[in-house]
Amino acid sequence: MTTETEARRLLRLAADTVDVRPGEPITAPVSRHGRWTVPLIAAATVIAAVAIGFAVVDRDASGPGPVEPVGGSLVPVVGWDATTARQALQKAGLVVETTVQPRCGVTPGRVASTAPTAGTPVVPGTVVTLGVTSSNIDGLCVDFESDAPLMELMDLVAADGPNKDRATFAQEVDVYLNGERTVLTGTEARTSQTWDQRSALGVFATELARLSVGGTWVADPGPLPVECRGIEPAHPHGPARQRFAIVSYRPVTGCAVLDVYRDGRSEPVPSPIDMIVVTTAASASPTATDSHARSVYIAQTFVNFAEGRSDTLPLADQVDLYVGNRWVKSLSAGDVQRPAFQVCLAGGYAERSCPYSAIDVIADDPDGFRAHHEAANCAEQIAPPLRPAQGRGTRSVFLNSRNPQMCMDVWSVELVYNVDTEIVAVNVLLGSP
Amino acid sequence: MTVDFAEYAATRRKTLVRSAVLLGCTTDEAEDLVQVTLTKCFVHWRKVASAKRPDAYVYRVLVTALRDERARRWHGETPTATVPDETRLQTDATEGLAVRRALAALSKEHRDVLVLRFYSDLSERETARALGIPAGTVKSRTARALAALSVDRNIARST
Repeated sequence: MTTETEARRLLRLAADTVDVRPGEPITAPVSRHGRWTVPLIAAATVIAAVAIGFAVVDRDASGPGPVEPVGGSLVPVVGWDATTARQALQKAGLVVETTVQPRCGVTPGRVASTAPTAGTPVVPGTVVTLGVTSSNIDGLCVDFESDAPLMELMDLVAADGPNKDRATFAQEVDVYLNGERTVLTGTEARTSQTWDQRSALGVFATELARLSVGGTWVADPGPLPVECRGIEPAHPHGPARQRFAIVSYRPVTGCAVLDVYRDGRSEPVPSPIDMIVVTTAASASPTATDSHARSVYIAQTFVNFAEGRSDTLPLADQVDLYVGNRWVKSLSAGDVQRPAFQVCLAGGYAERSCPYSAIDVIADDPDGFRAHHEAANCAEQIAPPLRPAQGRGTRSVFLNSRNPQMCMDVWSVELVYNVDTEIVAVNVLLGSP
Repeated sequence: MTVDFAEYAATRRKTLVRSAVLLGCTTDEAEDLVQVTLTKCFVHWRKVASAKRPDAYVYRVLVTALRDERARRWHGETPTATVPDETRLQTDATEGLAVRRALAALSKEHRDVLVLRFYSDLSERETARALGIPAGTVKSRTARALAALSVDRNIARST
């Protein structure tokens, strides 16, 4: 029988056979602000290399999605009841802080936004700030009758929240998705499994989940946000109809409007929901003075082009193609087709073989992208970090890989556009393996 | 007195990597795992440093991270699940390598307790916390693991 002392000796002998390479120096940050910088950067890098799994929110499970990422990505909680979201995130070891986001006509206590956004790598201890709705804006909000049906539906759609069982539906519910009508039974309307087949509610559920990656929502919106220009859902008004509307709008991918109707005359009170209208739209061309909308527009049109939904791009007469901030070649606007974006670079780049293509990295990534104002971590910049086409009075928007598992999965496409909202340069940045 | 993170990481990294290898990782995996572990610990470093035994906390994080990584990957324990063949055994005849083969031949449960108890120097209670099992289970597994080690043919041949 091996004794404990003998076991210690044997284990040490075994350990001595393990050749450990010297590690990178590990230093602690000096300031309170910087306290989080090193671990978060390191966490993002390491988690990309050793992905530890992602929290999964099962909409069919009872109660809010238990969030269990001990290392992983922040789950989408926009639209959740704030208390439920806080509890779920805290269970995952995250530190939750809140800020108030006044919204007229909205039930207080709903998550309107998160910082960081969903999909961001987090580790236990990461601070997540929830923007929580508040309707206490003295003198600014007009009277608005209870938005309970909307919030109940939101609980049902977004997160199996605390009020989901309160949502009541008529025996037949007319559901419109971009003008196409489907009739659901009341039971089907409240059963998420049926939504994929009759997908208006499923579409809006997806929309709400996407909001956590960037964007927000408003209830009873009045004028639509700039991202939603051109979207005017047909409102089947009728006598004494009560309408509750919610609009989600996101950078890059446009917006969606959910309208919920019920008959204001019927009994019991509140009467059940008998019509749901979901309308989605991509962003329309913005004005030159709205820089945010211009970025949204450029990004959206480029993605549509990359994914084959459109054959046109808003291009300047000349478009410069860059890889890793290094200029490679220029295209004439008239010559631009998808293969034209494939370029090679002498000496290679990011330990990948050419061609490198802004189109291909977008189209080939099943996880999609996020729009941002800077490149993703890990993205290798082989030339000095000067913006392409710097000095032409341009702006940039970055499309970044949404869900990279490791640095090798990381990509960024920088789109540089001019004052006429035309693309003047495209810069591909890839993460080094 | 609290332990400085940088100092701790510098002095303990090697041992942590070796522990991870003995627990079944390749060296590359072990280095990644230790990096993840230290990163997680750094986020809570005040708590770790104020613990009676920072090592116990750190090993608990390491074991949890390893378990999560294993759960995520479909192929499980690739590095050491297979006992090396006879040919390699004869050419790598040092006692330390023989012990590694013996560890690889043990069940994961037995290997975990041996490594944490006798290489990482955790107490039974600390090992139990790290593995998320009762202390009594650690005790019984340790006894069985030591018994298995004593009859392992790799060690018997090398000594």
